[in-house]
Amino acid sequence: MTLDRNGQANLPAMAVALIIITTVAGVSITVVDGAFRSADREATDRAIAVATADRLVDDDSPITERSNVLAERRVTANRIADSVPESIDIRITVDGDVIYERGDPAQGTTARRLALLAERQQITLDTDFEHRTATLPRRSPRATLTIHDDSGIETVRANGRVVLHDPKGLGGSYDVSLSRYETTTLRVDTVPEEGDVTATYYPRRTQKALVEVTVDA
Amino acid sequence: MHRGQLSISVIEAGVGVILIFAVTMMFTLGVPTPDTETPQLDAYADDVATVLTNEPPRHGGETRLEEVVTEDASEREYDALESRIERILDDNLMYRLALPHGAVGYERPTELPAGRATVPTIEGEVIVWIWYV
Repeated sequence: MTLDRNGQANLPAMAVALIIITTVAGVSITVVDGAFRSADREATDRAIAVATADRLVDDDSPITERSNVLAERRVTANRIADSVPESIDIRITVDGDVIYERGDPAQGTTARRLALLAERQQITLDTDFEHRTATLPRRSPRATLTIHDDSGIETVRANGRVVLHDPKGLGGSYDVSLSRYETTTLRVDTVPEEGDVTATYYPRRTQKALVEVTVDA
Repeated sequence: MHRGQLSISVIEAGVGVILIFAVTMMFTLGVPTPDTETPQLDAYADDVATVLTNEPPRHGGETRLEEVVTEDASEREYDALESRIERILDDNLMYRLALPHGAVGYERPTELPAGRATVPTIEGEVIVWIWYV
């Protein structure tokens, strides 16, 4: 009699135990599944976004002048299209303006890079070389000098370096390259008449620009 | 046999629950959310370093950075550098630039994650830290 009572499992307790175990196992699977899904979802998107942003601001990028300096005239959808991986939703903005968009990457991951947006200006120097010299107020990698045929100028120097020389006398329009690391003073070897020499230079104006790449693979 | 003991099944179930929770915890804690903040900040710091390294100087030297790392770089040079970096950075970012003979920027908070980039110069290492406000 005693043996019979002890050997029997307590049926209601067993039922409760089974229910508890099943519930806990179910909840656990849901939690683990959620953890896995959230963990690997972003990785590809982020990798693509970071790599694309990296490539866009690189020295060799089709839209930059040098590392992290975008040339304004090159920032176009056409040039960017080649640097973008295929078959993903992607949006590229520069300073808030959408430059390139494919699909709708609203749910995607964004990589951001700091860059400068450079714009070349063209300024004609307001001088007649009265004292044979003229200093460019801002740095410029090159300048265009237009010299009248009868001016009698044979040599033009930039900071002492001869950039143009013709013993028969200079005449015409010349492009000269200058140093972008120092302020340039142009010097001619005779005092020209008014309007004989005009100098145009191309300083760069930069402003900051945030490059944002949003990817939804 | 009537000492108010728990049923064996319930005790077993309890042990089972603890076991299942242990495994669950291993998965949830073992797959931490990726740290996306620091790589982004590192990229920002790299960008600032790159811009300063390639920029032409204001007065002498090869580049902007070469100009400010020397021992006799004046306060004015530091002020100009400070406003330059502030112009490059977005409003939600703070920075500190450690130069071989001084520093510009803000005190770096120890409790926040910060991105870091270093640039070697003739005078020594220049370190850029960037963090979110």
